[in-house]
Amino acid sequence: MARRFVISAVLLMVALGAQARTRPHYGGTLRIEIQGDPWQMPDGLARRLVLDTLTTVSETGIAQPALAVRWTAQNADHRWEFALRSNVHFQDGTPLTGESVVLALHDVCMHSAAAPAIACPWRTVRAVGDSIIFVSDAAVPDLPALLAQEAFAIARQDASGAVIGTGPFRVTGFANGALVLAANDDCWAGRPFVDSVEIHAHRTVRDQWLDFSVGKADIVEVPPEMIRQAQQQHLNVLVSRPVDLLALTVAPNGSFAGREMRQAVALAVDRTALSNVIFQKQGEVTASLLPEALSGFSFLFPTERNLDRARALRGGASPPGLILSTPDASATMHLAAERLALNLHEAGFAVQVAGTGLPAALTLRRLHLEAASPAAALDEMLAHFGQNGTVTATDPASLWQTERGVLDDETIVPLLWLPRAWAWGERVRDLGLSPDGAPLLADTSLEGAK
Amino acid sequence: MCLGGLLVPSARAATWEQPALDLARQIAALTGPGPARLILENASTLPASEIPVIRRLLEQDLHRLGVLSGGSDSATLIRVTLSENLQGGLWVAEVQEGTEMRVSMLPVPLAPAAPSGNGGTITIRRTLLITDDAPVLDAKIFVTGGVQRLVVLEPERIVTYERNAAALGTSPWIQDQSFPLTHSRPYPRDLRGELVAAMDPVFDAWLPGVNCRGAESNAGVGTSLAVTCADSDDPWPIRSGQKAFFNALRDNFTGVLAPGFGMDLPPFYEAGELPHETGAAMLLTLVDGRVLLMDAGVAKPVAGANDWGSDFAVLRSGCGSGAQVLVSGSGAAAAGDSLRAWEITGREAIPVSAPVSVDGVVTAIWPSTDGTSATIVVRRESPLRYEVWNGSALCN
Amino acid sequence: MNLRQKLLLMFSVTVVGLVVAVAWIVSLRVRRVFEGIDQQQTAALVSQFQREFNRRAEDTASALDRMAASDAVKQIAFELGNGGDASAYLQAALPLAQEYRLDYLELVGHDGSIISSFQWTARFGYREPAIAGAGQPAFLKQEDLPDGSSQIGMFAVRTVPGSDPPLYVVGGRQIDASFLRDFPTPAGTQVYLYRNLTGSFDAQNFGAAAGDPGVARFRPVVDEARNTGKNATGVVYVTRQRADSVDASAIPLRGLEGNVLAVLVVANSRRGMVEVQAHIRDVAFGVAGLGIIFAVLVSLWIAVRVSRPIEELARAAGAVAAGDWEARVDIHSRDEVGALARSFNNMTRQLSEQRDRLVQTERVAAWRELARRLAHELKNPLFPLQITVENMVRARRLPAREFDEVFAESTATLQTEIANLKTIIGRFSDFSKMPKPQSIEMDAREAVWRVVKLYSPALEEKHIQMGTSIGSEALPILGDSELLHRALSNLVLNAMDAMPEGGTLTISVARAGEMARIAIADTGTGMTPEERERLFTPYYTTKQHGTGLGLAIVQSVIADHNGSIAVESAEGGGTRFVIGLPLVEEKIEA
Repeated sequence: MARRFVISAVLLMVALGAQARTRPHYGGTLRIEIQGDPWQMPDGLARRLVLDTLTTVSETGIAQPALAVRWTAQNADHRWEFALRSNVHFQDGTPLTGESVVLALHDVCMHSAAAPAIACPWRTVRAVGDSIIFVSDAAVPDLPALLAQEAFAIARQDASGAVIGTGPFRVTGFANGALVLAANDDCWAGRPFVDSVEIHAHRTVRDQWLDFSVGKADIVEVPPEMIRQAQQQHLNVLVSRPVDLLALTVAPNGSFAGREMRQAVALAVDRTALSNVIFQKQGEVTASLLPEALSGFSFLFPTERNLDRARALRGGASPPGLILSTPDASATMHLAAERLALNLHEAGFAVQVAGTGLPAALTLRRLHLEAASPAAALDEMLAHFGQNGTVTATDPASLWQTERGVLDDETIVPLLWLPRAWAWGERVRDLGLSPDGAPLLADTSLEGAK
Repeated sequence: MCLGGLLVPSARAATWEQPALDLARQIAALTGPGPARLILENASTLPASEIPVIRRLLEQDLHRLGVLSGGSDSATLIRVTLSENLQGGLWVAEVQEGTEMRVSMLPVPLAPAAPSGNGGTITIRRTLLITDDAPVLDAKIFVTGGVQRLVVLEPERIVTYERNAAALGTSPWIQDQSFPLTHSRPYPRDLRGELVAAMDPVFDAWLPGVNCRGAESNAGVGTSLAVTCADSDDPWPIRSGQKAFFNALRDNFTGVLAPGFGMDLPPFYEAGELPHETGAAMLLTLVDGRVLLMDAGVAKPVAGANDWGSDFAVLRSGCGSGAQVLVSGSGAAAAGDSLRAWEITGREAIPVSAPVSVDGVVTAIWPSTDGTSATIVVRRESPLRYEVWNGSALCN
Repeated sequence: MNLRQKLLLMFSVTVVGLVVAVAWIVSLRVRRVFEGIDQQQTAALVSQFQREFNRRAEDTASALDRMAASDAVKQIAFELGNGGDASAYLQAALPLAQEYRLDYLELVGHDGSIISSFQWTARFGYREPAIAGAGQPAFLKQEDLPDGSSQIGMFAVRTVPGSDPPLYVVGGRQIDASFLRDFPTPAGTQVYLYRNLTGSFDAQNFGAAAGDPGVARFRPVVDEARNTGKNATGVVYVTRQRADSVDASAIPLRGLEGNVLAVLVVANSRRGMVEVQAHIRDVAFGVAGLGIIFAVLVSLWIAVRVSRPIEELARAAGAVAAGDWEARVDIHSRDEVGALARSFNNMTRQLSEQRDRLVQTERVAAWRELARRLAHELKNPLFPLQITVENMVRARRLPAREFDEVFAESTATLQTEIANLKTIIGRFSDFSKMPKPQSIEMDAREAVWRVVKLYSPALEEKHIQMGTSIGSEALPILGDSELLHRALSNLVLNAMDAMPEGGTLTISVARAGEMARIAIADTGTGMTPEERERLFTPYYTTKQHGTGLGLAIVQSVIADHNGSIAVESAEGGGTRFVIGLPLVEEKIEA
């Protein structure tokens, strides 16, 4: 729980402290490699660099000004008014206006129709001068924090269809298979230190590490299970706080139509082994939808394994041909799925790990958490499971009640909270991470640049 | 040797009285009067020494509310977990009666952590001036009209603080005035700014592309300050009567000086005047990492300064050669940045003090108005805050 | 089937039987010899496989020995022994397994829990009981895999030297098609591995070879090896083709606890042997076929040689039977057949001589009978003639009148008796003068009708009923109508004589095959067998005044018409004469 966070923070400080002796240099090209797509919704790396949000959140989850400089809530959090920062321009020189913000948010909400995970928590949004006014049917007490999510980034498209934002970088094209972003000199938050960023997408971790070892990459991903190895190799590793939830979802039909059978599954899983061995003690064992450091009450959800109780709940039933699948094709997730299958096998469930092509009774998912405040985080996590707008209060007790109400159904079995980590080369300086573990490349500089 | 530091009062009973009472009330509302078994666990970063205090307060409050927490065989179990989250402390009470479990929670402000200022024998004295949530670019004390003011330069405003003149040195600084800064162009990402003493006005504030002037104003009751800002590309004053042009996009000095030495300098971050017997040399930390000493129109690279940071301040301590260079540098990795005093002998930088860890990132070092000390800005994480220290070198 | 055919058949069967027997014996002997060689080859292969198997077991154990003694593993053991975190070694088995070319590898802690598993990474923390086999030679072990399948592997367990607490390495190589593929397998030999994963035989347990439809036929040997735990052998027919058979040897492979985990099946193809056998058999059959043909020819020659004299004998006997008493056979040899031929010739000669003598005797007897008949016939009228003449001599002494009377009476008597003599003499003359038939085509029914019409009135007078059965179908014959009428009349008259008190006379004529059959039956007293025997003998009669020539004439007429006559009679049961006359169908059709 908090210890994990402390360790992460220490690592963060170590990383920053070791490089903060000199002022950052300007210039240079930062080369980063990632497994995913740089434009993936909602939090692709390129999106983060090109686009801005109305707000950002501090490490403690407090909304901070970004494109909006202040905000006020009215009508018991049903109406919010955000004042836009003045003198902000899109990367093509177009000024940021209330209308452009509203237009961008409309696009987000329209897109969310196709992607239900992104739900707009307001009924209407309109611009009045430099103010953006949100009106919702239900109270949205954490709207400023919600608007810091990348899903609500302000974007527009130019005539060629290219994405344009107000962020520190702008897209210039592809070079050598990499997406190239150039520094936005007129960024309202200041020009980034590096002149450009090359994003090599869709690279396996193995390839990333190989490139990193030969100096072809400056920043590469370090999966949680490899953090330990990276540290043993004395790599510079920056570890975020827990931002990815490993959870098992149980389809409430067929063999698991009964709650007791689902509860048996939840009791049969061995989270400690997953955390200690597969994820090399980098995970936080949890039975909660929120990390302990974020909520402070996750320990109320018991994580202990009780095989005898699981067997008793199963009651001698032996559902045949149970499939456990995971949409994440990584070897570690597959390994985790196999371990869970073994756990369940001990409890009497004949579970076989299979690809996603088959209808699965059990699904192992890795869900990303972007929000940094408990209420927004719970809202975000519940949205992952198709339960939007469930969180209407922000006090811890209410959040716990809401979470317990959801988890009592036993269709979601949270397992681990995992951090994200990045290894950075010797010439990289001042690499920081956002609260959800993304590298803050705009604040990063390169050694030796002028 | 002297350790300078600010001692934060330990969180004692008074700190926890109200939270304990509030939680006791919540627990009593769940259990009602009667015997109960109380278990208190600490899952937070609270020091272990605080736990007995909190437990005692809780037991007292519960007892007053009719909940007798001594019953070890009671069917009612009260498990209080002192947890915390990113926002602060969270005290969670689980009341278990049979198989029924009810929960109550109470957010509690975390006690401020004691800053680290210890470190055994050191030669650098540090005094905490103020802690700010917003980034601090520079902070200096100016005395105007007999009033001592701490002027803090933030990216978007200038804030002045005053404190009780009768208890100088011990009472906290209290915010007095705040002046927003306006700038038509975006700041560079690694924003720097410096407060420079002036005869009239009181101070100049130099930021990339912006120059503000702080002057006394008698418009209000007593003496106050007025600050006016304007876009400006004027060179910033550096030592030895020189001024240097600042690259507002690159956050460093361009190397063009006015009036200059008749030669082009490479871009540099910081410049300082280092006195010696025959005059003064100018010490420069270049953008490329080198340290340069300009003496009599000759630029000499300084050896032994590989571990120097970009920011430094020359302290006229009177010790040793009479002037030391206070530089941020690499200390033990786990301890964050460090400060160290150096002397320049010939072309070589020689450390003259042990490094002092600052438990954070040194974001700025500016010399004080009299040149005997320096303002040191340290960014600390978790939670994020900026500490402004005054550092000086003490002779052994 | 004549004698020659019989002989041919007998000789052929005998020779064929002998040839087949010889071919079969040769084939059997060859088969046994080849099977013996084949079994020896299979046994050698099995022995070779077992040696190879043992060698690989030693290789596996050796790899584990080297691995356990390697610095990398020792380092792991050292760090674990000094409180190192076992979870850090989750993937440690992967590079080790690759380096030592193992399919299975587990690092197992002192408590038996898996620290790192190459084959099933997720099994960390679970118990591995195989560490009980630490230090032992390589053994077989069934290994469960993440995909739910099970495989058989050759395992060895070693304790890392100097490790305290002990660290075990449990490694092995999979025994599957690829494992077997590297075996030095001669052409025509297949090696299969049956994994004993299920209670009953399941061809799927052959793994990659399960798709081969023939493997299911190994069930008997596999089952025997599984159940007995001992080597089992047998011939397995993979398809219905005999050439697709193999000498299968099933070798049970045991695990650490002695249980049969797998069965190694060495299938040595019998194709070569079967083809050689088939070739030999074909040659044998070819030789046998030629032998049979030769034997048939020889048999034919022998049969001809043997049967020809006999046939000549038979033909001569037939000729003799047909009346050619002079028939003789040539004598070609001095063997039994020659003796037989000589005996035949002697016999026919004697028969001829006896016939001559018999003819002579019969002629004498006939003459005697004729003389007796003549004497008898002539004596009867002669006696009255003698009496009359004597009376006339004596009457000369009598008065004239009286003499005249006596004379008149005597002359009348003389005339009568002389007339009788003439009649008798005429009959004998008629018999002697029987003409040759003048045959013309006629209908047999006409001859019958003619007799019926002629004698119907007389039959009525004698109270004899007439029954006729004459069909409508024409019965053409070549015949002399007068002679036939005379013959039939004789038979009708005989029948009338046989029925003095009346009775029934039945006359019928009908087709009987190629013959026209005429039957005349009476209801008279019938005949004794002796009478029937001599019935057609000339001058034999049962009547007081008969000449004994009637039926002889009938027989003569019928014989002249190439017909036949038979009599059926029983004493007191009437008599029935049946005459057969050949029909002339073709002429009628023409």
